[in-house]
Amino acid sequence: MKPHVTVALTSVHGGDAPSAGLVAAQMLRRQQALDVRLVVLATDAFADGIQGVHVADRVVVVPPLARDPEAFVARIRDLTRQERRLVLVPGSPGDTIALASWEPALRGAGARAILPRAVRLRELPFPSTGRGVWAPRHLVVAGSNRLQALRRVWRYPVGVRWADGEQAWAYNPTDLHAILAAGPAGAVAGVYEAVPGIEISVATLARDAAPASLVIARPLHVSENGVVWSAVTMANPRLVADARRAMAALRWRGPAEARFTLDDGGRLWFTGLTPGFPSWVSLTAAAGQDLVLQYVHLALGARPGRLSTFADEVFQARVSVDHPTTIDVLRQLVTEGETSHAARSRDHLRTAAPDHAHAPLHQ
Amino acid sequence: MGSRSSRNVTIAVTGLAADGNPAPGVAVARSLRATRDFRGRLVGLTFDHRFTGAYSSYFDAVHLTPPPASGEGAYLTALQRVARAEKVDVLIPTLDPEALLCAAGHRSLSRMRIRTLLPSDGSIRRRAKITLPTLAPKAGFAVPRTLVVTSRATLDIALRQLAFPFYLKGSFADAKLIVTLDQAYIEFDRLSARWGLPLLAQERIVGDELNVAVLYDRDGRRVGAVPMRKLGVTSQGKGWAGVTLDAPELIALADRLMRALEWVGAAELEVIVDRTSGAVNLVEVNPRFPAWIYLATAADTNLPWAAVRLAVGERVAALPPPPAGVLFTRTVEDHFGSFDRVTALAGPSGTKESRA
Repeated sequence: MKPHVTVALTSVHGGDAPSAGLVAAQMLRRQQALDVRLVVLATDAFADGIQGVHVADRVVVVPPLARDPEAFVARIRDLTRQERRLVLVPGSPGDTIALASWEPALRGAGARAILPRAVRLRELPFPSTGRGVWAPRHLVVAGSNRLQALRRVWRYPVGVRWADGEQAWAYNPTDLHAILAAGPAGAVAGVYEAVPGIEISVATLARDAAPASLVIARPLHVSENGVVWSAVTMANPRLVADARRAMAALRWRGPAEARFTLDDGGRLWFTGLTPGFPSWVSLTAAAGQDLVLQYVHLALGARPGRLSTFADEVFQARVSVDHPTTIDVLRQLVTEGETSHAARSRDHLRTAAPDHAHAPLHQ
Repeated sequence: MGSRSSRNVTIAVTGLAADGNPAPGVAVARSLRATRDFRGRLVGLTFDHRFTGAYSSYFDAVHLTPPPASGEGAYLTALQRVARAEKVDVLIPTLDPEALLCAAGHRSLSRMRIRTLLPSDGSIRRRAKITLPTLAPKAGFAVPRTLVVTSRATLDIALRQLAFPFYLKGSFADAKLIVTLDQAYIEFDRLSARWGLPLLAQERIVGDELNVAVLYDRDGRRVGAVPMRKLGVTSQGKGWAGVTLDAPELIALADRLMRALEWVGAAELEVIVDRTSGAVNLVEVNPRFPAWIYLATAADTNLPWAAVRLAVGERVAALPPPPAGVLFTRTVEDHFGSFDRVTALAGPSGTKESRA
């Protein structure tokens, strides 16, 4: 008999910016190792609740964590009374940051999660790396000091990375002014000198300081709004060893996406870290390292194993598809604050693509 | 060709962009795969190997074709190559310029034994955004005030005559809501560089955004119509959620317009119902299935399959109106494979087999 666990996910949404929460829910739906009951925590019946219906056993509208954290924690406490062994998975960088700040309260409410240490959140998006990690010249600017970056930039182009992972390029002071001025109030931005080379993304998971898992991918098709629609894994041994060393030096807890530039000489340059799983996290499972499933295992108390390898040159293509439901489900979410599939067959929860579309290549 | 033949045909589908602003190709393919009656092959045609729909499992094979901008000759030559290799029976173009190329080249397609269900190229040209303001009122639609922008000077005229915010649109696709003078000039440069001139400056109507997908047979008889209200739109104004409607008045208006256009095949009408006056403003007529067409299929009105059956010469009875209240939300599927699939499509052969 498979072990039973309830997994509660935040930020499950698709549209033109599919979240890691949506993709993680789909991965947990497909995996066979655990008997998972999926609960989607939505902040609004329509904005994200209706989007969770096709993957979740239960969708619950909860108070928004960022605006009303006490009420959110209280709702989690209610849920842990109903759903035993509840693991909380943040579905976006913003949620990861917000949940990390409330980790003790969430733990007290009975939820299990692996989140960054709150004291390190202020280092984002360029956490201190210690020795042995190459980083381009960068500065981190916050709030009203943001525009001071204009006087301190060395040479253009520069990358601008926000703590929640959004990135833009500035090719001159006018660009940089516009990008920094348009950022969310109070948000922190990292400004870094561009390094010529290939941009790569590292999905990583650590229960403590050292990474328990790590998969490297090169984003290929990135839409204008910065969303990755296709990617391919890169597993050459030197790159993997360098990435592991860099992640160990970062000593970052929880799921995260670290961005690097691989220059022509094969050197990795660290260009920022975003807490939470990247939206391409399903590629980790296809390459043999299901980071979301490992997160659930670690949250339940499993000991991290040795870092394993992952398959090279596994290609991921993300396709927008429409899922049907009915207006009655939306009505139920609005009027009752939740909807459940308990009375129905689970067959309808499968994604529409044939099974072979999701088959891991390494098998 | 009998019904047995339609079950086993090879259907080529274009428009495989499948990111946050998807083309209709994947939704059309999903609709065809959804019918138990179809046992044939699906061939995807794409002009960009980066379009992720090319790697979805809905297609048996995918071929690279020239972009429509390369002209009718190059496009049809490529189609001939694919038709020989794959023995294509039916072609469903899902991009506006491709529909026009195929309609204009229908004789060549016929010689290749490729069947389509398309209006004449004249009909497609008459529904262009630029001519719609003249045509639409004759069918009973209102039309937002629209000015043709052929130069910076005519943009200045539009800026004097239209209140902010208004839309600036490319003549084929793309639209931006203009809120400032500076933005108007920036978007004029961007849209004209991308789509050519003229552009259209169009009054913004505030109201319910409704779309209707329609299908007409070769006699101009409506086979099916699915009206949908957009419930959520992306930052680019594309619907990510919508719900089917019971809207016989809208379908009647669509019939009048499409009759005037002597329409054959699929189309999508985009309208906005003015919240104050109740006027039904026609904004666009697209000569193809919409990207949300799988909603019609989920509502038991499989218009792409009906189009295939009509294309091969079968009679298709008018489909009953879909139930109101079927809702869609746009989500994603991830498809995985070896990177060789990308290099095969991007390489010299421009071909990828996916369901061998």
